[in-house]
Amino acid sequence: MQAEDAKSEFEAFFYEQREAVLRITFAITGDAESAADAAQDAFVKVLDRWKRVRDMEDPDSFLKRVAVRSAVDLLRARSRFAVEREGIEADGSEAIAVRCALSRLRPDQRALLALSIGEGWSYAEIAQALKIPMGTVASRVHAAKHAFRREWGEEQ
Amino acid sequence: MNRRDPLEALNDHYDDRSALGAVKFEAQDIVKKRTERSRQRASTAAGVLAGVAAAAFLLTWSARPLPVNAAGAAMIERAQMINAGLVRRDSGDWRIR
Repeated sequence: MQAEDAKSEFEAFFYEQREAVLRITFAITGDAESAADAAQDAFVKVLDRWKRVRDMEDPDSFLKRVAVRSAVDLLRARSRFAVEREGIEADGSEAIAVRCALSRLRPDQRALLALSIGEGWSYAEIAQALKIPMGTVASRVHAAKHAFRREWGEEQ
Repeated sequence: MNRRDPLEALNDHYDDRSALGAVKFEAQDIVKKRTERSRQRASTAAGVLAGVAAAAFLLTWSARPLPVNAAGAAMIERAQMINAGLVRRDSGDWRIR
């Protein structure tokens, strides 16, 4: 009976958070397939610890932190950006130029831009998710923006 | 070419989530994936255990005493006696202390 309760609680949590988690992982990874992989990985990790997570004060934040780390880990593991770039370079549109410029940034820089610009997270939220001091977040976001501008300049 | 502010272009990029429309996965997919991972972890653990057992066997096997002939046995005995301080070597001969 308890197992059934836990299962239905997790299901409710899953459907409540699925879209938000996908949005985060998509902003970081930049493609739908990787976003789905990272989101599923995050939910599996949460399900593994469900008894502990459901009793947390803020399980949503915990899930989002796990999702961010899953997406960054996935970016690090998949060194396929050169291939991605080859496939999209011919088109000169702005959207493609953004993807090309992003693809040349480090995974942590992509995550910082996605969370601060794409998701509008505060430095405090990013610091908590990436387990780094808030001052470090500020300087790294600044550096990531600078790196993006540089790469963008090369695309133009 | 386009001379727009790069961060503005980046913002538009993040706003476009149209590709996510095709992504569909359900709660049961998560449960299945978790079961699959548990199985993989168990299989990896079994593999590691088998490897450790094989290594332990090889170590035991390689540390077994080697068969020696009578002359070899005598040399080993002398070496053991020297180590124990029972004999000393004197002018190429073995003498009891």
